[in-house]
Amino acid sequence: MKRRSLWRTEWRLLAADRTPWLLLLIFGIVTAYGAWNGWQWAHFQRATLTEIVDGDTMRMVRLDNLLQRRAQGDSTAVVPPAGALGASMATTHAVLAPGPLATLAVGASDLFPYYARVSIRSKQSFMASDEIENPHNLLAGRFDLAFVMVFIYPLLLLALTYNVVSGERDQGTMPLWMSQPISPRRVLLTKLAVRVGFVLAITLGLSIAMAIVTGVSLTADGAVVRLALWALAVLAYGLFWIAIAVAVNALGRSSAVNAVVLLGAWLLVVVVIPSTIAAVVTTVYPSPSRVALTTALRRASDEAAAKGDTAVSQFLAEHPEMAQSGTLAAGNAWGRTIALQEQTTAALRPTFAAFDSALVAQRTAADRARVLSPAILLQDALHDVAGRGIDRYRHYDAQLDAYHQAWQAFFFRRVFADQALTAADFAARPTFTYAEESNGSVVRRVLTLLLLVLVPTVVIGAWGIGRLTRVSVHGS
Amino acid sequence: MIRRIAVKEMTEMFRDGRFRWASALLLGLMLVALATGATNSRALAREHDAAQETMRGFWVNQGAKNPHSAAHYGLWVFKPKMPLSFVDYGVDNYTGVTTWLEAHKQNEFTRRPAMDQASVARFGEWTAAAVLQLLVPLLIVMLAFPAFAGERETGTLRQLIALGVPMRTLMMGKAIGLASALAAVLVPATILGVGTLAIGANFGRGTDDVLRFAAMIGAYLLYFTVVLVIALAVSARTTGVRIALLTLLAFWTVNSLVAPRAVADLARRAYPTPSSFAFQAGVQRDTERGLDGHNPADARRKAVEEQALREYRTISLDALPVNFDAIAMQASEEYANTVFDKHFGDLYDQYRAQNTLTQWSGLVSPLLAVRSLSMGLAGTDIEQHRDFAVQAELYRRGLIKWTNNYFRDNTRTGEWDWKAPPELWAKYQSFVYDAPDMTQTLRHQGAALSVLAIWLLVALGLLWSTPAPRVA
Repeated sequence: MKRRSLWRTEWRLLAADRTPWLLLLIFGIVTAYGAWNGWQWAHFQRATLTEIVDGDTMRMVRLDNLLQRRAQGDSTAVVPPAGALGASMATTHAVLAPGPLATLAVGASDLFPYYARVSIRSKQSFMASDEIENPHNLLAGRFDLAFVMVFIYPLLLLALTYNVVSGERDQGTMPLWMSQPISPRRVLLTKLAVRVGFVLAITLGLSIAMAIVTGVSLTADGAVVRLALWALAVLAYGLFWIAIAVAVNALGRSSAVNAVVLLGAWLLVVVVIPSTIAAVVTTVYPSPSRVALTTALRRASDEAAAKGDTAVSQFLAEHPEMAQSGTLAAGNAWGRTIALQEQTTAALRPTFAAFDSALVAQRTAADRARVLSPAILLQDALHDVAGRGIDRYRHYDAQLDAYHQAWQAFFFRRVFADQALTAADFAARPTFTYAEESNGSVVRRVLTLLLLVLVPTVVIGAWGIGRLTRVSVHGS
Repeated sequence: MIRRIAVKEMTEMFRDGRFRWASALLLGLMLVALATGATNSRALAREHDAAQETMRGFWVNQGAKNPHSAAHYGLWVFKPKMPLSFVDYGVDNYTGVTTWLEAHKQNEFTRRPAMDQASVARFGEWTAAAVLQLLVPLLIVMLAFPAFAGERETGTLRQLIALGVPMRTLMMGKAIGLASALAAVLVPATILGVGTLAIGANFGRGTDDVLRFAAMIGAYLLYFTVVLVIALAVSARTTGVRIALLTLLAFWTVNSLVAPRAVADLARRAYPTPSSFAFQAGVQRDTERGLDGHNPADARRKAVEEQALREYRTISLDALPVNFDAIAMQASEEYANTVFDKHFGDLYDQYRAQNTLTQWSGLVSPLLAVRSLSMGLAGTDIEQHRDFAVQAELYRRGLIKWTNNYFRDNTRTGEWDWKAPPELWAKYQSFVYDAPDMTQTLRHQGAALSVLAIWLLVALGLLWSTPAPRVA
């Protein structure tokens, strides 16, 4: 038999069956629902950010008018002290807009804040509020495209491949083609390739179609690279499941046994291993306590307040750049507030450092353990590609910290010098614009994860294909 | 006859190595989940209680202070862990654990523990509830799928029918036999669970917790019965073992993994919640302009002023024997409280509507109904959280009112520098949370209970209407 006619025959066989089309229909619906949910969330976030930025712009125009009137000598224009401006009136939101592929995953973005109204006060004071969400929905997680890929797409692959060998044996067609002058391995691999090609083409096609339908702009910076990474990730994960299916088929058992073993493997990879890792990691490396942090914060601020003037002079002595005289003008209430706040922050530095290192320890352990389950690797890869993972959030958080420091430095100098803010000062204030991560670092991270998916794929796949030569008409 | 069939099924189960292994594994997982759950919950409970004590200490020892400054200083309260939370963590990791009670403002709960967990945690938590909701049904499916389909394939069904055994009898016998085999595994697990609970000795409300635990067991037994009957019904109606198994596994997957997420997204769509930004802006707008938009803050203050003058029969505020600032502050507190009641009430009502929809979705996925009941009974659902939030808010209102009244009665208008004696703060009682009892909890589980009842009827119907024997 010619190679091409073999392909054509297998395709006809597959296409004549009703099951693949039914599965395809279900998968299409599920994918569309996932994409719709992702779009809704990205849309909600964008609408919220627009409202926020519009509000900020209006406030800033009003404040600028006030300062201009003051600059022109209008005595009815009363400018509040620099401290009040830096603490609230002149503050705007530092926003993290959804990335170019945001509609493809919700990921961790329903837990982490995507805007913060940065002020001269401590970070804890302006990072306190979370986005409103029913905790029951947070617990369940989102039905987004990433979920479809991690959980449902393997089922589609397995449904079409679990009986590649055993099905032929069950139907009695195996002896027919075993007697042909063509290697059984080639027949089986062609069979497999046709089915797998069908699923992969559909999945990749649907992914890209959904990206475009949900408004991903291909001209946006990094969109094409990220979309290619998404496709690559889906492909690698698909290959992993195909390798498993081949290996199980190569065992030569009946279709029913194959189905059970493959479903067991799926359950192990997408449910059992991840939740076991979560349980072990959070037990061995417990999350640091926010409760203890809240108590420590209050204790430190009480202590600074109790020391009062001593704390203030201590702060000024340690920060000669803030006030040359080393003392605070009488009645400089904001200067006093800030000195006490900064003394509190300084006292808490070790507590925060311990908190952060506990967090890092847990995340590092979890990152190492995820090698055990390609499902976790894929989920993290897809979230990262969509800009919905922890890494993009951390990137934002670091910029937020830098901006917070710049904002504080800008206002602290004026507060301690007891200077009013002028229109020119206001124009020169620090502003925040999120700088997206370089595509290179996303590519590096995601490729590392995919490489980890490929290792078991190659090992299991090679073993399975090697064993396929030994399939027999009777099974084992 | 039914008894003989049941005994045969049970014996077969016990002799099956797969059953023994699967049960042992299940029991092991269950024990680990209970042990870690109990340890974690108790550690958290201790931590929250200790933090609450510490915060109360800060409040009591804040020294001589103006009462309004004290109200601004405020108090942090922490959500206590409920005694049964170790069985089912529910939404505990996704709700804030603490809130700041201060003047003028009802704050949201902050510090969701899930934010500080590695991303893998969202694949699911290993709790006893997860074992009961996901793994036990899987075990049931694996045991029950060949009950009829297997007999049919091996040809023994034909023999049984030839012997004159009615299908209904066969069905009942198999159901009872499998249920007994499962009970032999699950009952010890339950006893172990109760044992841990007893050792934990964390019976906050004694009998109520025992009742809750009993109700929880009842809900899970009902759920298992439903799954068992569905599995047997599918086995009796399908042509082969393979189809029976695949149908049941598809049911399990949709029930356990797909439906919870799909429904969560549906519920947020059906009953949307505002963004945090819009929520806060709404509260601020209504506080400033009045709930109806025609009652601005300065007009309200004017009215309070006039009322105070009438009440004390004077013509100027300076002549008042009390502190008008305190009166005005309390009036604005009371107005703000109505605003908070409206906005927070609306928000939590929206959550409730979402959750009711989720419970009704249990008609498609019974897991959703039993999960809701389990969390409710464990005291780890949003209703419990709301109850705590409401009590904390009422305490805040009482505390702020107390400081305002003290300020009013002991000073004259404008005396902002006046300080209350340091021993004053201990005089306001500490915050004690009074958890709702089981009847109150079940009031919000009506849909879940109805869904389980409907499923039970369906299951009984399936048992009764066993189809005519199809032997090939």
